[in-house]
Amino acid sequence: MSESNVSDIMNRFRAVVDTPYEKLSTWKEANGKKVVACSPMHFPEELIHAAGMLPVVLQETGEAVTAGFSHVYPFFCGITRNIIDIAAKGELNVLDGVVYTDICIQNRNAACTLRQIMPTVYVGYLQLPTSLTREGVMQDTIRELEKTRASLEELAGHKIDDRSLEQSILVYNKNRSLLRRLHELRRGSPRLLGFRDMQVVVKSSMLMPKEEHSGLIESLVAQLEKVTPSPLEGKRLFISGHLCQSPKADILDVVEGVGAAIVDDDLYTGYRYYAVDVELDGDPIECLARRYLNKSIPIPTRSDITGIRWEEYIVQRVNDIGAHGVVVLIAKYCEPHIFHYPFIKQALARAGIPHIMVETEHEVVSLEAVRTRLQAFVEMLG
Amino acid sequence: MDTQVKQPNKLDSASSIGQMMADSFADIKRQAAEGKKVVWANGLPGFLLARGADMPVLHAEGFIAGLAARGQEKPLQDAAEAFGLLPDACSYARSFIGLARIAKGHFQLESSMHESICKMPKPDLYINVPGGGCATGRLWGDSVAAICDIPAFHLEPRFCWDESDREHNIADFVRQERELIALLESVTGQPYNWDRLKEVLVEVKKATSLRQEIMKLCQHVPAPASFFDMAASIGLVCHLVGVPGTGDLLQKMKEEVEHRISQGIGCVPVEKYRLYWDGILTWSRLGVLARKFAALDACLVAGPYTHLLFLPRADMIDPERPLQSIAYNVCDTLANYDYSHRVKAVADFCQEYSIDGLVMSETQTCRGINGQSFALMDGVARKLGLPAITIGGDSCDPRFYSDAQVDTRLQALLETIEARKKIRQVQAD
Repeated sequence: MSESNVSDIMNRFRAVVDTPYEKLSTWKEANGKKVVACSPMHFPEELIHAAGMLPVVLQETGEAVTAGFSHVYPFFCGITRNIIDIAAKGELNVLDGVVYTDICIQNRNAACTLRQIMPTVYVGYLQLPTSLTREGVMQDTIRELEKTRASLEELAGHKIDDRSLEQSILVYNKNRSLLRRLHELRRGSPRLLGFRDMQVVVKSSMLMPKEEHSGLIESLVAQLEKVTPSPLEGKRLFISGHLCQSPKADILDVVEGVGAAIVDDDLYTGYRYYAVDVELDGDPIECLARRYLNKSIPIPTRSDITGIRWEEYIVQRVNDIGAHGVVVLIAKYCEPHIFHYPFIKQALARAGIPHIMVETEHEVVSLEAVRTRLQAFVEMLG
Repeated sequence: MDTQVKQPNKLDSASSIGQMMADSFADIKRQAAEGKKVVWANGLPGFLLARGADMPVLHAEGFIAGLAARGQEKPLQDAAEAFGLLPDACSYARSFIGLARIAKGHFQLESSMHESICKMPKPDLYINVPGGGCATGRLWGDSVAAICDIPAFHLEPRFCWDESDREHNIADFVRQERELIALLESVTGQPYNWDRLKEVLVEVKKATSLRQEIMKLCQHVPAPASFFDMAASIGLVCHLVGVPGTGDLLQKMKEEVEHRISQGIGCVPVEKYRLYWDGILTWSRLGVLARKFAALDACLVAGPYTHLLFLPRADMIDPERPLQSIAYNVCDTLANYDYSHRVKAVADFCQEYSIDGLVMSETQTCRGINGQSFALMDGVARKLGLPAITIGGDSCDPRFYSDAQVDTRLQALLETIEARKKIRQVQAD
């Protein structure tokens, strides 16, 4: 394996992920394009891309919350506090727009707060239906997406035609397909790329032009495919949770540093982000709507009793990959996860799958305590 | 200052509400025993649609707040936490999920006393009507529905991101109500009783109109009734909404309030400061807080939770247009608007009630209703120059409350108000 090539590629990704908002400022100057951020989980970035603007997914930074506490209580989730904090400090003024979707009440409050403290930046709010068993959800979704398209057209200063949107969908589908290929390579041989690095790959996809990112992934995959897989020593773990925000790299290092490897996941900055493509077989807005309403991956930020429940999905994935146990990472104060956790706990117990739940915080707390618990958990797996 | 002498002057007429609530819970048990299907619901009174289906409704906040006020909420929260629900979760939700586990027999209560207080009939349907579109309501409703293996229906008032969305949001809500009606018919196996709903709305109109008249009378100085009185009687417009007798009780309350005004009787012995409360009440410390404010010559006059959240649009209630009536009262609540609308509404409210300062409740397991607290404090300060404090606590989990913190901050607020009054006096002279 040409180490330098993999290393060079990973360094390109890391450069984007470290201090993302500063890098965006540099990118804007160099490219003369607008940058529109969207909240995690549901916003169809393809709409922004089709408008000729750079879509980025809001990322939690490592800064301690200071100015933000003039706008939000400490008992709000980390990404909400952090985004409000950096907005209050002016670090998001590089953005031309921010668009939020209705995933939880904290997200909604963050949108309102950003609109208040960044009056010169466009802040939009996409109200997709969250109760999917109600009638008319497809029409409601389409209507909301069309409304958002119109808002983005106003921001961009030109129309977003269907042809452009179709092209953007293809670009995004290609990137998702490459990420899935990388994911599969890791599943077969987790030591090919540490999970921390996989997170960097996914996060960088959320922060840079997709075309450029796809080119880099193609090179990375090509390099990694040349490597002869080595048998994995140690326990195989499935990591679940962390909707919206990426887990701190330190925590992931601890997990993989106690004699285990993370072989699969359902994180937002992981499999969730690239699992499902837009099936482009008709009107592109309708296709985006169908992707939102796709039930193959259960999403706790929506209500749907007809799709598979999250806990059943985790059990299925764990059994598919032959994982020895599950690490459930709950971002503190994340209500969609908090309310689902008891059911996950129950289902894992019924299935005889050991798990450990670790609450994570924006401010990294004692890693040693987490290390001790994870060490004990992995040893317990036998 | 002798905190043992100055007690709040509670409304006598409101004292029978506790019994009305208890009778209502007993009635739900009776109807369930007779085979009636039961609805559990949370949030705003959109659930009164179930009354047209002749289904008894257990309202989460109404039930849980009462338990918390009597210090009886712990078994429910223990049941939820034993299930794995973290204590950071909304305590209303946590308590109701615990109640569901108890109803299903998944958690054994320690005593027969707990059984009589904390056990309610298992629901057949869950209706979620979140205040301000709080997504936590959906999570909570889905949790109860999964535990009890029942359908959950989420009425989702759209957030009014722009004022121009308003009419569309109301029309959308009416459409959702029609879907709920169809579900109610399916669950009961009976055609929906629209006449019954209209009768219920006649009572709702009477009750909410009277309540709003009472609240308006409290603009009088001294205030004849306080925010605590309105909180203690909030059950009349949530859990008991539309129940016969609520209008009559509110009529008595209004007469008592009018009498107090005519006699110059206030709800606190000395009303030196008039304060506003933002957010949810700290139910487990209602009495403690009422006495604390009274002891400091402060009258907690009003706040959105009692005045602007539950059926605030009596004027839009028309029994002949029930779905629109409910839609206006769910969609047009303050919690469903962005900060700029809220700041204006709260500033106007503070002027109407002659408010001297704001007390913002830091309900520490709620990330919904207090998400705009800082914007409100800032906005109202800029408009009216009113000082504000935040005080920690929680709706139903007493572990988050600190008496010392409340004392310190309340004292600071009153000193600030006093200082500003003196400055204004000097400037006027």
